Amino acid sequence: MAILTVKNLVTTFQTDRGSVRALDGVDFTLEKGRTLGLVGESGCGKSVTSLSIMRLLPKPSGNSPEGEIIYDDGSDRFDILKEPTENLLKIRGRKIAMIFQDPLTSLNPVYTVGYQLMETLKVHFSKMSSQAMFTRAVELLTDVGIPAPEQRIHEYPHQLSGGMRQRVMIAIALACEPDILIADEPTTALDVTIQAQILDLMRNLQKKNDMAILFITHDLGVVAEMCDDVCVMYAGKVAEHAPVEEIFNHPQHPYTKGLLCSIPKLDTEQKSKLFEIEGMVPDLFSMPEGCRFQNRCPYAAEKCTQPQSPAQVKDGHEVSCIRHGEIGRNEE
Amino acid sequence: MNDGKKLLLSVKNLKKHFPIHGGVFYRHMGNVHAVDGISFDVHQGETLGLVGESGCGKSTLGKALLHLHPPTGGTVEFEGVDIDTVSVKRLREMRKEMQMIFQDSMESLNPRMSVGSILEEPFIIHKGEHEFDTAEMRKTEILRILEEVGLHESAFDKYPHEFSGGQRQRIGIARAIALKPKLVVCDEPVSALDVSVQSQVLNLMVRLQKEMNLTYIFIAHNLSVVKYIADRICVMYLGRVVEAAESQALYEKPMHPYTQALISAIPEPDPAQQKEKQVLEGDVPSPIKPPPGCHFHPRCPHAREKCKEDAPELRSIDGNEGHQVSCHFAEELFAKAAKPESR
Repeated sequence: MAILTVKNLVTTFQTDRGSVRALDGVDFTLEKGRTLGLVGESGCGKSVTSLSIMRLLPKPSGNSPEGEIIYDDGSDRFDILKEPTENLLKIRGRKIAMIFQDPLTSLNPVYTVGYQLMETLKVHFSKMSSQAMFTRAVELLTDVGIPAPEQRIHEYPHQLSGGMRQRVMIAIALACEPDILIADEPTTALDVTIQAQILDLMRNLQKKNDMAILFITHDLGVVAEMCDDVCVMYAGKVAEHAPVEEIFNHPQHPYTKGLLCSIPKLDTEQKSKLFEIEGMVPDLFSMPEGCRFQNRCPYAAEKCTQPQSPAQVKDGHEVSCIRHGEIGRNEE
Repeated sequence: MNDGKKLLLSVKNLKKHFPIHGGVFYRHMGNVHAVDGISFDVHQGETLGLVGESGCGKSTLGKALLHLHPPTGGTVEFEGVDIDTVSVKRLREMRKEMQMIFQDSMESLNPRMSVGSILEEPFIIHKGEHEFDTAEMRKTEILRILEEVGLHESAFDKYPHEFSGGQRQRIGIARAIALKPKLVVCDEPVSALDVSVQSQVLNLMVRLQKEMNLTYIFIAHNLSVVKYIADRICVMYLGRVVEAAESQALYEKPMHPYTQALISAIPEPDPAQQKEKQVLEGDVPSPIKPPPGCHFHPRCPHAREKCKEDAPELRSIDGNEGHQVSCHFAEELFAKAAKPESR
């Protein structure tokens, strides 16, 4: 069941040089209990998508996003973009929670870990006694694998290591058992061995709470490990959306293919020439007409300047490339 | 395997400790043991990879090799000359042969200087040591270098902020190779770049190495990248080398428990190939008070009493000079891991 449906999401920013469309018609669905990976390079709109869903974009530079973001958990159904601001407070943290890349800047340095955990509980469960809140907070810290939680709860963020802080962030996000967890590059700032711990933890908690996770990352290795479905984004648009095996085994979009070929893997021959995607992402002010990838695409043709619409390749596999059929055939 | 290749850099028992001061009288309160007794040799034309997690001392080691951090103990010999004993003037001359590429190209390029003057600076500093005496000659040479690293001529008059991250890294590389050095220390040169740009920069570095017979010390935390570019790899943990080997051998049969965990933790970009993970408990301890004995013992799944007291030496395994491990029980553990069915 689709718990979150994003339809034609457009987010524009007003800048000194005019308005910029950071997201230009993004569509995807997030299924209950599954993990959707949002992949792409810096500036492709991954984080703007997550902030648009949470309605956390700063005003007035970030105009309110247009389109639809439908939340539907079976009993409750509404469009997040049309909700009045006071209702948002009930959604954030309770229904959709978020963890960020850098836990040190997203935790408040002047409050203890326990205070910040209980703050979330206070907002959403005003009738809970403070004794019960403390017990719950300790329980949450235990769940995320923090040793000696009764002592750690009185500590400040700077007293914890990077991995511990990210665990605390996860504990705060899970305090009210949300249905959706948005994780914006949660392991990018961590070392590989710590990253493995955190990914392990997230998988276990997902199973336990049956949450849907929107996992934003640029690391394709992490995607292969964590995600059920993948959305590849390029310059504010979804290039390809498919189950994870499809993306890695039968990529259709030239950009997805390029990305997969350009990473050195453990079995890549040493110092052999790596595949390069020519050039770089165009400036958002001077995007080409039609397909935004055309000036870097090895298969670009005249019709790529026409407006593109996502095409269904297979059940659940969508690609927005006008030539995907021809390209596939050429290779076979 | 290095027969015939010239020994370029020889590091012996290198140490770098940073003092910590504090309290009312700014007392000396202890030391950060950033690099704690490291030895290795690098031959000309080779790439040595240094891997490890943050805080293991890889960047400090890189800087100590170039004498940007004067070492606390031990020696660094470059072409047979101990760089700690030479005069400042001689060191400056030697720096022409040893250059560095930094991780953050925005911070390592002066924002107020045009690319042309950034690249001209090395020629001015080392005046008289190269043939480019006049400004015109230098300009021709700089334009040639710009082309070499894949930048347009028009870059000459632009400023660093006008470029993207990948292009700025190319400028950093251009500056490092301008004087045709022998050794380039690359401190996380591609970590800040997106994957599609990362492959462009890696290809460039491999091509330059072949053309100019460069020797790289390649510092990174991304093990797939290091395996791709390095001939030999040193794995570091808390200021010490725990394992050193040819890169193929290191990934095929890692001997040290830390290397094994590190390699198993790399997320492989292939959903069909998900291996069983060996997840390490806990965090890296503080380098101010590293644990006694083997630094890795508090996180090691195989730790025994001996590990808590005796620090293991880096020693060759199986009579193979190229593969060194610092673990008391490496042979035993490896034998166990190789034949799991017999247990």
